[in-house]
Parts: sequence; structure tokens; C-alpha cells
Amino acid sequence: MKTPASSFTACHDCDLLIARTRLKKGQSLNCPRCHAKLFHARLNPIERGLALAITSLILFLPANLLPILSLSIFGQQQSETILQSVLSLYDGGLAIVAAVVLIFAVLVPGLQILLLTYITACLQFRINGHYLRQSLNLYHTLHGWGMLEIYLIGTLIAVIKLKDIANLEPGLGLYCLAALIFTTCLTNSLFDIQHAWQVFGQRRDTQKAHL
Amino acid sequence: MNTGSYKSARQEGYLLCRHCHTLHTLDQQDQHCHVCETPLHSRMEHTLQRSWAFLLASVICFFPANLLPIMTFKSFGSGAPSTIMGGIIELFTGGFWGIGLVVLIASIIIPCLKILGMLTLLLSLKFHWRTSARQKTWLYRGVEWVGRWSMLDIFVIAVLVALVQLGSLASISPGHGATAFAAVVILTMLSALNFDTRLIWDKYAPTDTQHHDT
Ligand SMILES: [Zn+2]
Ligand SMILES: [Zn+2]
Repeated sequence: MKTPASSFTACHDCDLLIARTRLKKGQSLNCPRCHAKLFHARLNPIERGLALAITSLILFLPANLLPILSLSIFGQQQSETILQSVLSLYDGGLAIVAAVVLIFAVLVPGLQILLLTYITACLQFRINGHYLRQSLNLYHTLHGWGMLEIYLIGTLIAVIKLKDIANLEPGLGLYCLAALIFTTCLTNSLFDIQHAWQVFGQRRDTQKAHL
Repeated sequence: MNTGSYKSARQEGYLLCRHCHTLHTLDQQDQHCHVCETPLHSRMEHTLQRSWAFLLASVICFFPANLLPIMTFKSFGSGAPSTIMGGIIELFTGGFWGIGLVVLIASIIIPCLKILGMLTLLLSLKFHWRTSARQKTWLYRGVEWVGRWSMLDIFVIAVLVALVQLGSLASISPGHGATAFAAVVILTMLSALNFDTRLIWDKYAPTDTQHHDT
């Protein structure tokens, strides 16, 4: 009889078979062979994830709708939001680049925040979300494709490029965007999708046992 | 370093779901994971072919990305289109060394290193180069981590095009080089994403080590 799979785990980067150990809160387990981070027993990841998701949700709309920068030159003014930069690219004839910016700077970050809110709310309040599995899968797939922080650095470079020929004023949107990036970074270090999968799997198992 | 004492999950008859990190037995290959319901594969299917395909496509796009203009700045009706390299030279000659360096690294050096890095990984697996698996893993992680940052220039163009729309006074319009450049970034990211790092370690399996020793 083979040892059950539940007493082991494997490294996702090098497939090393590792005996499962119970981690204390705050401890992390790295792969002894390739040093990939396998587990990190974070403190209340679901609860903190939910708090961060709601904060991000509040910041998301102003970050997208309020002007990020405004420029004035020879008495003329022009302000810019993320969505406006998408439209300008589209008007300039670059539909694909417009789509790329829309997807990576607006849709993916927005979807990630919505998914995180749904996932953490379902797990925290023990709601039977019908789309919980799909949401977890999608959240996992989208990892790394949200590029808000790169958009912010891009904005700063544009400021430096233009500062000699025009007057630039940061808008409220810029501060919301910076705050949103901060909450996104916090989410990445405090929330843990692997932990969410574990809770989801356990709930699924107990539900099946009751049937 | 004695790599022979390490056993991979596959050698011991197990299989890891890469989505939800649940461990299954190897006989569940091609079935669906009972937790996340994604198909189970001990190694990603067609990983090397896909990785090669995306990499070659990105190399092809690399040329128009650097040769075609990415934007045109017009002031009082006059102005010339500029390429990525042209924009960087402009920053350097304008005295913006720091920012010029950032754009140079993000737009030229990182895409080149990414393509060369993936090429090294794929060639070393193809021709069984006997290089350190740990070094290759770090090379992959570097490629993966740095990959998204080359999107920087696309966002710079997006901001500039939206801000500088003042009719005949001054205007910036985007160029098709930007489309090719975005394609390079996305294709190299997909090439890395489709590369299964577990293949790097497979040849270090104990049976292989013994085979090499004799
Ligand atoms: Zn490992
Ligand atoms: Zn799974």
C-alpha cells in the first residue's frame, strides 16, 4: 500500500517530493532543492485579503476616472486618465496597443479586485459561492498580468519627458492610483491563493462527507 | 552537491496540480483535479514546442519593434517620427541620464536578455547541456520576474499620446512600432509561461545520475 498523497507535497518548480509539515503562523517552507517558496503560513490571509479587496475596490474607480495628470502649455489645458490614454491610442490608429493598455492597466486589475472580493467574502462568511472554483482558477491565471505599477512608472517618465516644454500638475487620480498600487502590493504579500485553495478543498470534502 | 538523494514526485508515482497545489497519484494523469477541476499533467503538455513557438514569434516582432517609429511628435506642424532607440538617444542628449538609462534597460536590454535567456534555457534542454539546474532555474525566475517591466514604454506612449493633444500647437501620435513592441513583450511572457521548469530538473533524477557515472 502506497503512502497517501496527503502526507506529501511537491515543489511546483522542480517536482521534488517533500514530506508535509505543519507550519506555525508566519513560518514559510522553501524547496530544499530549487529554493522556490512553497508555503507561507500567513496571519489571517482571508480576513486581511477581504479588507484589502474592499479598500482596492473603493480606490479603483477614482484611480480610473479622475485625471492622473494635467498639462498646460501656451494657456491650453489637457488632462489625462487611464481610459483616455486608451482612447487616444485607438484614435491614433493603434487598436491593438489600445487593447493591450486597456487589458493590462484596467480590465485585469479590476477583475483581480472583483475576484478577490468574491473569493475572500465567500470564504470568510462561509457562503456557498457557485463560481468560487472558477474565480479561484481565474485569479490564479491572472497573476502577474496586472500592470498598474508599470503604468505609474510610465506616467512618471512621461512627466520627465514633458517637463521642459509644459507645465504639469498631478491630479487626484494619480494619488488614488498610487494608493491602489500600494494595496495591490500588500495583497500580494498578505493574501495567499494556496491557502484559499486549501480552505476551499476542505469545505468541499466536508460537504461531500455530509451527502 | 549530491543531487541523487532527491526524488521527484513523478519518480515516486505522484503528480502535483499546478493550479491548486493538490498532490495526486500519477495514475490520475489526464484526468481532472478533484479540487480545482483543471486537467492534470505531470509535466505541461507540449511545453517546449509552445515555448519555442512564442519565442520565435517574439524574435520576428523584435525587428519591426525597433525599426518602425513608436511615435511622432509634431509642434507647429513640423516634427519627425522617432523609434525606441531615437527616444532614448534624445533623453541622453537632453541630459536626462537616469531616466534614459531606465528606458534603455526596460525597452532594449530587458527584451534582449529575455529572448537570450529563454533561448539559453530551450537550447540547453534540447542539446542536454550539462549546466547547473539551479542556475537555470534562477535564469528562468529572472526572465519571468523582469518580463512585465518591458511594457513600460507602451505606457509612456499611452500617457504622452493622451496628454499632448493640443491641435497645431503640439501633438503626439502613436506609431506602428508600438504594436510590434507590445507583441514582443506579450510573446516573451507567453514563452516563459509555457515553459515547464520541472523539465530542467528531470535529468538530475537518480537513475540518470547513475547512468552518467558508469
Ligand atoms: Zn523545488
Ligand atoms: Zn487542482
